Amino acid sequence: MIILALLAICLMFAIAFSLASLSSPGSRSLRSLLVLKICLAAGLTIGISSCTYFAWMLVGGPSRTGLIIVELVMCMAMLGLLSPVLKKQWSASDSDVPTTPANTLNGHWLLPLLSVCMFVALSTALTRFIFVSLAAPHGEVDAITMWNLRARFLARAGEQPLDSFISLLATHNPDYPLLVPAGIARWWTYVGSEPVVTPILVAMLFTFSTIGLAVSSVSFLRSRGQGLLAGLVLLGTPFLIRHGASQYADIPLSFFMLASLVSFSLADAADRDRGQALFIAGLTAGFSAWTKNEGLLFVLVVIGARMLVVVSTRGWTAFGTEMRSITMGLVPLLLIVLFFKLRIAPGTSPIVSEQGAVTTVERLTDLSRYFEAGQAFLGKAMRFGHPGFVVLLVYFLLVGRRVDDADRVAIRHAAITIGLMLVGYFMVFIVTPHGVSYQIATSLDRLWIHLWPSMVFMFFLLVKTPEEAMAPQSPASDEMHRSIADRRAS
Amino acid sequence: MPARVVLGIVLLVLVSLFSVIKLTNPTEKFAARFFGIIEVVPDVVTLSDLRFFALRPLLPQHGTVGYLTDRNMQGLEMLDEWLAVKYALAPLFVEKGPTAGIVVGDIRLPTTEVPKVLHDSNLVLLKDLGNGVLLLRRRAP
Repeated sequence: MIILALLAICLMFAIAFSLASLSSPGSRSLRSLLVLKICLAAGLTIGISSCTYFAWMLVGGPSRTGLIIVELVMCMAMLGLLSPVLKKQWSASDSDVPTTPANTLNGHWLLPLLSVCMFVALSTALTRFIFVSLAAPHGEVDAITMWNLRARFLARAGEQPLDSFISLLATHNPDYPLLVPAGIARWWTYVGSEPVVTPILVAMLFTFSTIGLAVSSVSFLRSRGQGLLAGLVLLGTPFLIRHGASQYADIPLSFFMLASLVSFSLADAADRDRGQALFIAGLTAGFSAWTKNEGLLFVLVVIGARMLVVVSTRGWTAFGTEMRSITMGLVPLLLIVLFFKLRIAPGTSPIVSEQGAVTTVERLTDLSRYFEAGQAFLGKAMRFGHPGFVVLLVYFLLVGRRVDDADRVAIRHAAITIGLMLVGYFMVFIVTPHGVSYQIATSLDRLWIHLWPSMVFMFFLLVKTPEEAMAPQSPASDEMHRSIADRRAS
Repeated sequence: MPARVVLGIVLLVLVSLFSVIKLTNPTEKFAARFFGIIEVVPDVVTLSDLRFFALRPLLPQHGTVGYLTDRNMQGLEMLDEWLAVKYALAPLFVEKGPTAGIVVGDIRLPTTEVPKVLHDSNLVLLKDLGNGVLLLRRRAP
């Protein structure tokens, strides 16, 4: 069983890591951005395996041997396809990696101090995660009634893999996508039993990979100290850890949203081969749509925001070139989601089916709904996470901002995406058939957590790094900042 | 080194550390966990999985089964138990009441009172798996 479990992980991780290596454009060595690639690969592992498992259930049925063979062949094919990029990265040396300005200013007492704080925070959060998981090993209510229940229906399907599953979908939230349930069911199918630890590990993987991705990407794009601060803020968000352990699909969605924005930012910071990172940005956006319905809104918003930013700065031709790479990653996932929604779960969620033109207009013109939802949104913005916006705002005022030209596009893109997502969520509250107060009570926290890691990522791209803020200002250091920023932007 | 920068960093780090440490409620939970616990009780879903584990191979692979219990299924605690039953018996659909051909009994009354309950519900006992778990079928009309 352990060997099969390891095989289940290693097969997909090999594919996912190869794909994640595309997110570091140019001829960087395979070891560069290693933490970032590992965190990205962790989420991609579950994403890709859920797709292969779903496809196998459609065409091949429940045979475990068949699934293993198909995945082995797929793994070889994928590694073959990616081998030119991997070879290039294997032979590249770390000296090719441009040194960011802030990295040249380290060696300060601050970095060891932040590292120790990060270690304390990480081990405490990990302990808490384990305790919550021990108390409720099968997860909280939605995990038992939806995500893990669907995984059980898939894994226990026997000779008729999809029949009973389709009947299940007819009963409750039919069109919720399958990334999390299929990812868990695949693992269970591989080992031939249903270890309780599987959904716990999946939840843990997504929770801590989200934090790791934020830390490593901010460390690369800004500075190591800045990355550690971003990690501390995320670890200091109790709801992120608690909700991660509840085994809902919200944290996986946060992960894919953040991964997409990080990949766009890496593409913006690259001097060549930007298409690879844009491909990963499209792929991870597609996975967000395969995780929860809110991911479909994210796909629309992130592409729309990209169009606004790129067209206004570089023109339509540049946007067209970018879209070619993005769609290569995005379209296969959208086809899977579309097939699932049209053929497997043709029912729609109540939030869509219970809307009529007249009632929707009535709700849209009811000002009290705007007031109630607005008050709840603002209240949540002030309090979300213990550090919350208030502390971040104070920090911003004390430290200040510094935006390199290379980061300007990335920050604008992330800001517009997050802003439009908030507007989208707000409008769902206005037109919800369940009543605004019910929607606020049951989903506001979860909607915030979708965007919170991305907000933290954007915030730390925007503010000065500790190294920059502490460095004595001199014409020479300003000149150095400019020259290295020019290299990254070129 | 500007004092305001140090202040900003210290503020951010302390608030983050405070909230992550508060997350564990160290004074209460730690003490309770290491000094107050005398027995480890599995959660309701794990208990339900264990109770119905032996029953699952005896049930059909697909379709719907009924669920009969002698307890009042109202209230939040019972809702948890009901969800746990449905979760344990997946991929079968579980309906409350003795409506389907095959019915899962979850009866914790003394053994002597079980025949009366079954007779009143028009059910026949197929197998008693112990711990209150019964495999039942509807009596032919």
